[in-house]
Amino acid sequence: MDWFLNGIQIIALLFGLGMLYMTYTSYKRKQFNTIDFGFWAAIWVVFLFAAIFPFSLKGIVYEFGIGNLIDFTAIIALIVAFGLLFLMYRRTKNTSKKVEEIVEKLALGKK
Amino acid sequence: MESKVFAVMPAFNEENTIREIAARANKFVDAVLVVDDGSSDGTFEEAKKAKAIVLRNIVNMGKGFSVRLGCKKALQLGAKRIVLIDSDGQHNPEDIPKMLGFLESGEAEIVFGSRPLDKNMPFIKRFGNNVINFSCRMLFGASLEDTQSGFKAFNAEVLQKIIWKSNGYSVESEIFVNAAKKRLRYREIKIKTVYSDAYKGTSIIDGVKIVLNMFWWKVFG
Repeated sequence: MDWFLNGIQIIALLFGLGMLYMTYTSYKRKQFNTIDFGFWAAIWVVFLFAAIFPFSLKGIVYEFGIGNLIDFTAIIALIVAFGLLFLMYRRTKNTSKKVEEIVEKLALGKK
Repeated sequence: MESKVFAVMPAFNEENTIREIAARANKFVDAVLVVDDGSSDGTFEEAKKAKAIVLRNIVNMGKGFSVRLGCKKALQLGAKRIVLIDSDGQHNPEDIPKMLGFLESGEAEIVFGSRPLDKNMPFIKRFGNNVINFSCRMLFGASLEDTQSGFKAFNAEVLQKIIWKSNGYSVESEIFVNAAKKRLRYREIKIKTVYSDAYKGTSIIDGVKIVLNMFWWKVFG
């Protein structure tokens, strides 16, 4: 086993640690509840594990028919990003509608 | 209140002009209804001085939202005819009787005021208006010299047919497109226009959004 990390692993490690730290501070500031914190912390821990021990996931990556871990990570990230984009779009649309209703009610003096 | 003709005026930071325009419009209608769209200046207070009914949005919501709100309120108050007129002094309230004339005679259900697209209109607005007018013609086969003018008048009963979803500047195009789709009888009249600030109103990005919206309406109705 090679204990030295290459460049991309170092970047991934720093990124993962940064995200884990932000997840923790969000939880402390009560911006995330316990479930949010648990979910995202688990994601970043798996991410850090994969960054430090990339070959540990070799079996899984090959099962998906993908050549290497970086490709696998990129594909998973893209899928997740699209999913999150959809959820954010839906939430923004919902919030927009509620703002319209509130402003209209206030302007018309309705209770 | 037994008011029949309402002038609905959306206003955003128009403290310099709203009082005068509202007062002038008041001579030709039964009531003026100003919708202050989250202005940070004295628009609300100035509109009140002109004896207008004033609604206030606590945050800026856009022209389309404000006009829709004003029309809803006008209907609640018993409006039979509604005139839409901008608050920035661009439109001449003295043109209101000409518009109402077409409605009263039954010649039209909706009247559009058309600004001359000549050298008096700032170049970028002229260019943008031409592109939007052309797009409207191509996509909907409906012809109007000026689809972007905010000066209109219509019978209150057609409001449901032309009601728009746009909250922003696309409202003008959407009203015309809806009127065309519902085959309403319409007239277009030339109106006098005054440009005091070339950089207010629709920007280039707004123009792009309007054209994109037109494609959306064409495809999804």
